[in-house]
Amino acid sequence: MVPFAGWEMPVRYASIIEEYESVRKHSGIFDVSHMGELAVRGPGAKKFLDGLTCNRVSDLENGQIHYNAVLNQAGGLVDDITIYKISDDDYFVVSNASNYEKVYEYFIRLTPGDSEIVNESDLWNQIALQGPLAEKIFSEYTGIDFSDLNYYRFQDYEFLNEKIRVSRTGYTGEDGFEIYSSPGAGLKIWDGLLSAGKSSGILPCGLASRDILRLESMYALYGHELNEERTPVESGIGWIVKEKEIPYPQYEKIIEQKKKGPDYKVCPFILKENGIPRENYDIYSENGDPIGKVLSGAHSPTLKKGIGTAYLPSDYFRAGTTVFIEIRNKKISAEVTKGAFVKGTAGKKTK
Amino acid sequence: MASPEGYSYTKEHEWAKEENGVITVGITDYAQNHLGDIVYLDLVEPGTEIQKGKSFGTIESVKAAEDLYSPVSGVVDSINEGLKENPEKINSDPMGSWMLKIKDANKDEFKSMMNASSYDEYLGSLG
Repeated sequence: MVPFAGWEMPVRYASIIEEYESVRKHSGIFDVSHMGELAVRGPGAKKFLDGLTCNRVSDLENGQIHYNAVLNQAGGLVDDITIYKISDDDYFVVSNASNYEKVYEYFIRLTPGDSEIVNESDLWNQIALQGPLAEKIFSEYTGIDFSDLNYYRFQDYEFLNEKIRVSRTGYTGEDGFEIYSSPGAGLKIWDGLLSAGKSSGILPCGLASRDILRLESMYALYGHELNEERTPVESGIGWIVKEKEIPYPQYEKIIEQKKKGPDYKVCPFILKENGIPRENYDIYSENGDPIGKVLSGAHSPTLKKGIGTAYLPSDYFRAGTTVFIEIRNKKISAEVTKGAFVKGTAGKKTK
Repeated sequence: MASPEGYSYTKEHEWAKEENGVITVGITDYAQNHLGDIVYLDLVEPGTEIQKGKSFGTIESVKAAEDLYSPVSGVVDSINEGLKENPEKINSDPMGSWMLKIKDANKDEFKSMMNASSYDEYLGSLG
């Protein structure tokens, strides 16, 4: 167990690759109770959220979720979040473990009188059930039909004599659900899913396999691809930068950056030789100039190659560009790529 | 679980076995378990002169990369090329996954290695 933002988190339950395979091939479950949940309510809630985030909150329908980023006054990321729209004046914001107190304080400081922020993190347990068999296992366990719950949608259900909130979301690239309940019910759901999924080969999965799955899917991780200094465009999540009627911090600069292209950007790369790129390894150009450092790195069990991300100058954005990663005093060639390394089943159930 | 008899061991968790004057080297179950899923194995070339306690290659798992240390000085007679292609075999069968064979080995160094019960005692002391 390792300390992770004040939580004791298992890095692995068994073999990291076995956990990984279970999610890609059938199903795995993650205890993600460390995530923070904030309620933003009131007649001004929508306008308030739109003014601090780059994705368009006003586009959300009731029961819909989107990925978004809370921006500091310099246009960097306070955190990346998902916003669940319950109604026009009620939003459920899910934030990273290491950041939700920071987000909460930032929100509280800037909340107008017509909306309120409630830190509900202690009320909610979160379990992520991920993998191509997630729906089958979840329905068998709960007796609830989730076939109508589409990608990036959520609904509240009655289960174990309480209200649980289920969203068709995740951080692995595979189809699946994030299940919010009381902490007590969370323990029962964890055990229940493990029993219900036993014949399908379900495994409890830790942080290490989760990190490989998310990196293969090119999902950004705060503290690696994302931080207070880089704008969303520079972070490689420019797809959530939208033009809006309500400007957010550094609105014009960020919109301009999206249109013209940034000077630096987070880029994915894949090694052409054996090796595993790891965080902070140095990256060099073909003529030996230092051009950056590895932000995230892993061995991709699907591609059987080392993969990673790096913050690179614009000369290196183009897919196919060669860079060199220094691994134990040897320069290993790598190629800049584009988009996800591995495309899983996530989003494929949408009707 | 007790380590198999008939092998010699180092504190760096390599095993060695002598047959007809040639010493075969691999890593122990303890080592593979600590490394986790092994994905790469790099070994020196046959013919290389190696020194006791010096690196004869690197092993890399999903979690970490580690040097492999030679238990004895000598000359690399051959390396297990097949294992380099399928290094995950080290996880499932560490004692059956030999890495290199050493000829002209220093016999005193080999004799000074731990036997199975001493190695198990040492593992116990690691907690």
